Amino acid sequence: MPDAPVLVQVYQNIVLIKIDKDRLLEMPVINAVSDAINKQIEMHPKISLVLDFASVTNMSSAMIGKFIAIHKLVKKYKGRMAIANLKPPIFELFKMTKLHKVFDIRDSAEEVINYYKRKPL
Amino acid sequence: MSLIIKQEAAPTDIDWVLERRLPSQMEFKEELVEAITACMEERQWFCEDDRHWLLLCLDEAIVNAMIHGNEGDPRLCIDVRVGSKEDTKQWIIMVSDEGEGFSPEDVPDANDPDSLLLEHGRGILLMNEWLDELVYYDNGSTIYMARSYVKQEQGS
Repeated sequence: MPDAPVLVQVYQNIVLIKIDKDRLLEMPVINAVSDAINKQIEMHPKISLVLDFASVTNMSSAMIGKFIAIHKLVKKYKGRMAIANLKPPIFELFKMTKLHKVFDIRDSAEEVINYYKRKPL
Repeated sequence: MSLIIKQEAAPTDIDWVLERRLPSQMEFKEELVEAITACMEERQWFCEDDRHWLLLCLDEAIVNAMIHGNEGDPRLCIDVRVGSKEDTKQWIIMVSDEGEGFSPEDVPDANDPDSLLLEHGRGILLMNEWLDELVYYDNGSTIYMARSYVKQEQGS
């Protein structure tokens, strides 16, 4: 499995994960991203997770499925998560699959980090 | 979500410009996708704004054929053809696997609220959003994807 193309920053229980890859299409990449995020969720119970999608330009339905599994895992550990910096075509995918109603989608990572700091779990 | 699966064989009245046959191994996918997009780009069959859609459709079709159709068996091949139809002014991409096909019941309805949190089953919904035609032939073992190339010429 390749190294996960993610950059992780942790502020107490707020975990910012920047996805450092434009195309989330290949299964080894999808699995590496998903495993890296799952690891952080397990390391930080009651996590406040922020996923920064600024670099992402392409995404398959398999990656969408992984984000749903991640969302379920966050809920299981009584945490919360938000997705930020979506490019319009990627936001369109969330909207078409109606997942924009499931995920907390924000314009910027800073905005949601500040919110999480003001309202700790 | 409309899902059309026909028993009959796929249409043949297409001017093919690219034909590839390769084993069901994911390591071949990237090179194949690059060859297809380069071939289509050369003919100006899609615009840059639509590249992400084309990549999504190719990825879904090839992965489905390799993983579901051929059940990941590297001894089984997929056939990929790219061409155009003058009468409808469409480009066509067909991907065939060596499996038995599938039925609509095998695919969750992505529009059903009960399916919202399923971790699979959205590929066809997404492809349908962009393509003008998405039809499965050969009982589901051939996917036929078509879209007008005139739209790109008109910049719409």
